[in-house]
Amino acid sequence: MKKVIFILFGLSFNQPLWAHPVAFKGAVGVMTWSQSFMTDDWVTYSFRPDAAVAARHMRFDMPEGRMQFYAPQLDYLVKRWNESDSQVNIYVYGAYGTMNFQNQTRGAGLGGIEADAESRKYFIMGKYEKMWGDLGPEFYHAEARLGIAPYEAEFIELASWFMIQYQYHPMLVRKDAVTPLIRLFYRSVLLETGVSTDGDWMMNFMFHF
Amino acid sequence: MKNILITLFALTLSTSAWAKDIKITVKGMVCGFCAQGITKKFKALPEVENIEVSLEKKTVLVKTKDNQDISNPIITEILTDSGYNVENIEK
Repeated sequence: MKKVIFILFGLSFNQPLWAHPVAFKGAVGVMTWSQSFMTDDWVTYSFRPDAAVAARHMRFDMPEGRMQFYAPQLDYLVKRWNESDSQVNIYVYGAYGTMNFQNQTRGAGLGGIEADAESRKYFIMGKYEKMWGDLGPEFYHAEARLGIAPYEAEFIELASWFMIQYQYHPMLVRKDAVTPLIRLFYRSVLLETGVSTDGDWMMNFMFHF
Repeated sequence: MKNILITLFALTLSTSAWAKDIKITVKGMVCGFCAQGITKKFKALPEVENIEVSLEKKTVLVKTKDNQDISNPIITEILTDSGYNVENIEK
């Protein structure tokens, strides 16, 4: 387990936005992520415990202009380790849709890998995404997160987490961002908010049913 | 009359005792947000009267309705579909 966490920490130079692209079988999840330089919106349906389909929209602000990406996506849970006091996950996903940039629209693809490890007290996550398209500069996005819970919330209690997030995306107007944030969730509703060291506000809202 | 009442009371106790308490020990259940599927899936079963999830104890307690039971394969399937592994089932 310790080795797995170290490996994930190594991967986390490029980490993600949310915890699990695949939820329980039959779950519908909605996520909307907002920052001044990007947004990322997902609607997912987990048709198996290890697979989900999603509709995704992303907006990136680059020095050359604003890019929008719309695509259906397939998420797959590659491996999950369920331990008594922890869980470790590795996901991959791929999407193909359209990219709109400088008043032109072309086909574009996206691939990503994401890994997380969590207990009731600690959380670590990493993600890397790359986009291929005929328009705009080659785009990739990396994100890492570390989190700690001030108390171990029970199932029906409000859970609170303090997290630090690092994002790296050298093609955007904001090349990287370090954001301390707070995560709160109660039952099926999750809210994250924080302000980066550069003063950029972020908010992430998720729920599933 | 007294005897009849005592008999009825005893029968009532006996009947309610037919409801089953099932204690399931689950591996990987560390996040309440992610574990919501467990309650959703168990509550969808007509046999289920009540369900309690404890992250601290790593258990799911299912109380069935009178004269009802849930088979171990169904319990295991629900937990697997929710993303977890069953460590133990006590009935």
